[in-house]
Amino acid sequence: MEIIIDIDDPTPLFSQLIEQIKNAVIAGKLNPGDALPSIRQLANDLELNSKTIAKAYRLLERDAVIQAKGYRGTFVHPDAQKNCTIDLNEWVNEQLNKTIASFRDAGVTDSEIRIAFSNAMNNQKN
Amino acid sequence: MPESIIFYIVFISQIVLISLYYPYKVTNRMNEVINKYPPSIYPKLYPESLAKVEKDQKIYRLLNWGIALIGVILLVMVGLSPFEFQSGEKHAEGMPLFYGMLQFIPMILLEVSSSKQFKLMRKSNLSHTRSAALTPRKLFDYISPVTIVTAVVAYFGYIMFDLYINDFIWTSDIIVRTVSLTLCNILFIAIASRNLYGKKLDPFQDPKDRHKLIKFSVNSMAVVSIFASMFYIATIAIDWFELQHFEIVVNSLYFQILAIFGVGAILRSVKIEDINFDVYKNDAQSA
Repeated sequence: MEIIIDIDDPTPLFSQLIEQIKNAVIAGKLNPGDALPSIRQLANDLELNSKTIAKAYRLLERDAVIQAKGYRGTFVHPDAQKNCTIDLNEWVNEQLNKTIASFRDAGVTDSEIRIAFSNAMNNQKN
Repeated sequence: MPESIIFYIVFISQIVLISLYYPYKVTNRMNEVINKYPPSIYPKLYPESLAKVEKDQKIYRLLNWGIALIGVILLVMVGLSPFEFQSGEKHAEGMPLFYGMLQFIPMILLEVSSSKQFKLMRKSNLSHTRSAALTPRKLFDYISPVTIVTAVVAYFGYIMFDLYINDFIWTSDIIVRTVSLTLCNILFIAIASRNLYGKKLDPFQDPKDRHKLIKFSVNSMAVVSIFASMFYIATIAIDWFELQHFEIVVNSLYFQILAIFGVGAILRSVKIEDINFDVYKNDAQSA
């Protein structure tokens, strides 16, 4: 199984990686339990910054497509096939649209929503 | 004087093998590549002009001839001097070692030149796509556990043997020898690790060829490590059993073994006809 990255593509490099790994899982080219290369190996082979690979792996792990097992390495998650079809970005957009619509219905202005959203994000960080 | 005869045979063999035979094979291989895969059809293989490649090749050949000549001069000097292999006379034992180090200089220069070529290849790679296998490279995919265990046993075997000979007292000599062998092994591990997990030197190289080269490099480092430990054991045993007249022979054989398992092994195991040169054509996609 080979991964190909286009450095001139406007799609961010980490997104290309995520997309290709998910596609490989859906197509059955990567099966649950299959080992994935280390961040260092993939970064060196693709001549990319290891932070880019780490970001892609982190997001794939969040989506339960892959799982890190400490020193043993990174593996395809047992439920990867099912989890690949879940698009968290789409879900976030959907939830936000619903929430914003309910605020507007209650008469809250856009600037009040922005300020409240910004405050909520800052509070979460703290 | 059978020891002298053995020394002459072994030292002549060292000169011929390292400074004449292998350089001849290496330059022949370079010429074969240039003739079979010319720059007009395989431009990516030549980041520098052919004239520069030929110049480097000429320097490599001349250096080896020069070093071979030095070897002959040394041999004549030893032949003319009242040369006795007696215990405690250390005037000639180190000669094959220092000469062996000299003999490896052209190979090191060739290695430096290759890494420069690879750097230029990477610079000239204008492809906007990068590809990689989505499978991890693991040490034991390239080398058998038996070889690794043998290298580890040889290393600790040397330390135990040296301690045994010296009544298990850590003398300064043992510490120096152990530290130097450990540093050698750290270097071998670093080289093997760089080849295994490091950046791809040749951006166009076929993945199968890369696999073969990594396999060769890792195995070669392990074998050299085993022989380094054995060499240390042999030199201690020579002192212990008072066989000093064999020290010079062992020193010479050590360098010949290094050459056989280094240059010789790569010439034997990586055949030109098995390498995919199509990746160096202009229309080929980078790997």
